[in-house]
Amino acid sequence: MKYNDKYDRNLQIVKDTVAFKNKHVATAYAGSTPPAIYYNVTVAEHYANGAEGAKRHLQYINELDARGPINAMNVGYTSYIDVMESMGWWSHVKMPGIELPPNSVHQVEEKAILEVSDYDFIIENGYNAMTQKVLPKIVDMARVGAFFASMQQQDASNQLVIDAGYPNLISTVVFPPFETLCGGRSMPKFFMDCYKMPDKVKAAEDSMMKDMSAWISSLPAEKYNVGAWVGGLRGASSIVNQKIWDTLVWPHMRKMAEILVSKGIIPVMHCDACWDRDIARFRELPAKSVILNTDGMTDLRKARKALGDHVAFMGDIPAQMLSLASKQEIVDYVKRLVDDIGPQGLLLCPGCDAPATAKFENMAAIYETAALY
Amino acid sequence: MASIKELLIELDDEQVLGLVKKELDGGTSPQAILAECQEGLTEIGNRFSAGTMFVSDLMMGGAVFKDISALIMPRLAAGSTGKKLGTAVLGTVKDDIHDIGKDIVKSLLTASGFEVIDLGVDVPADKFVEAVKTHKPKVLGLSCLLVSCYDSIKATVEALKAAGLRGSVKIIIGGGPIDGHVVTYTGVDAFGSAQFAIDYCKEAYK
Repeated sequence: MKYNDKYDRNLQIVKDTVAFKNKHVATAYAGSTPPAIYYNVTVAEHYANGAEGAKRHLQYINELDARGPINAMNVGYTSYIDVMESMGWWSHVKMPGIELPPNSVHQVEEKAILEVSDYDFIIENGYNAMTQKVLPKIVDMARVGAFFASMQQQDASNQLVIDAGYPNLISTVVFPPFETLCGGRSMPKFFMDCYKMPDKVKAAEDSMMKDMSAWISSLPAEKYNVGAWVGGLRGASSIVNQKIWDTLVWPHMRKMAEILVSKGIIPVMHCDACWDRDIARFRELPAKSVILNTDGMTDLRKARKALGDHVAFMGDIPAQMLSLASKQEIVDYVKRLVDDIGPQGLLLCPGCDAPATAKFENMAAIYETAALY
Repeated sequence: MASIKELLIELDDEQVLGLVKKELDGGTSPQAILAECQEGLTEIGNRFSAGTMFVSDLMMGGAVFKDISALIMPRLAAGSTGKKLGTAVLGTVKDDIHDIGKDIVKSLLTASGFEVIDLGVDVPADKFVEAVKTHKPKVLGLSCLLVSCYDSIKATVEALKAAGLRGSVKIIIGGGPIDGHVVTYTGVDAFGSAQFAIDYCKEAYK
């Protein structure tokens, strides 16, 4: 990989922010689909042509960067988002232009793919074997083959992003076992399992973690491998009760973060919904090494009080505001956030993933306002 | 010994199902058991609103109630399930296939004594219009998990206006990316959580 001054400068800003040494508030971009609508192509077309999609994605970020500096990417481009999510979530993912209207976003089909008996298979054989077993049921294997073929071009894709000067905060995606099982069993059935057979679920998770830990440990400690997305979606504190969270959600999220930190990779704890109840537990993670990435539903003011300078925050401009609010409302939201929790250890970013309908001027308002701090 | 209501609140499915069977065999009326379950689910909803119970608890409570209903229903004479509090129509809007939030609301409304017409997911505006025309609910609940589907909510509101039905029904929305901006943009009446939907329906049929 060949690096450049802009990339190195931005990477240093990201590292300083995670370590609470930044002087100014940092920024990151998140938005898989806004470039499509902005450049008048359908979301389906945006995903279908990988080379064009990747260029369009960067072009959009560059336009925003011209309005106010963007220091990192929190959502990279991939035309195989369905394959990636199917592998991580053991669910069928419906794609725009294939099973959904061309301007829809991709959506996970809530359907039980795993049977109760599959827990025993997982306990005996692990995550990799179960993934091999489940994939043909949820995704076109020709597409899986094409995805892996595209991975041969991964260096070229990474180089494009590096050339544009943006460290990729989610160069790796890691699904904790709770999320993967929840996808595979479907949420209603999996939650019943968590009440009725928690020991079995835990044993399956522990077995999955062996393969997952080995894989995370094998990740290359390269300069472009800046961060890893660690998903916390259905394991949110507002969704599961304390016992489930304590035993089936958090232990593996924490372990994954610890391994990533030991590899020099920043865990980006992508925590959708509200995590207020358990926010203090993030103190258990290695200090000044982790980013907590929230979507506007977790109270970052309380989180800052609970966590001090232990964990950096990334977020949290709500998706609905990016789509419907006025530019001034975005400016006010960003100012209030920075004024309340301070610029240190903060990366301003759309919450979760900016929606396709995000107004460009609202997106620009995030970065223009950040530049004031 | 804990009551059916208490065991339901504790989400102790084995104990509560055992007790329901015992009570039924002992001659307790199914209606009385149903009423106790409704009280239990109301308390679960209240604790959810207070932040001491969570979405998983709502789902588990709904599932346990479904199992209890399977025991009770065969013992109820046709038409003796008690007076319905009212009717609500629910559905996830067009181009959105998420059903979990909708199903939680359906389960709680049913348990609270409402007749629920569930139109499913990816429901076009004209289907909502047809259902409102047919079932004459006082409340229409729209579920939406995607920012890209706000226009589907708006289209549903517009279709109801065009059909001359908007004045006859209150429209509430729920889902992750929902707030006051979405209420204003789409022209619905209110938004909120699952428990909010139950309280809103009870208020509408008071």
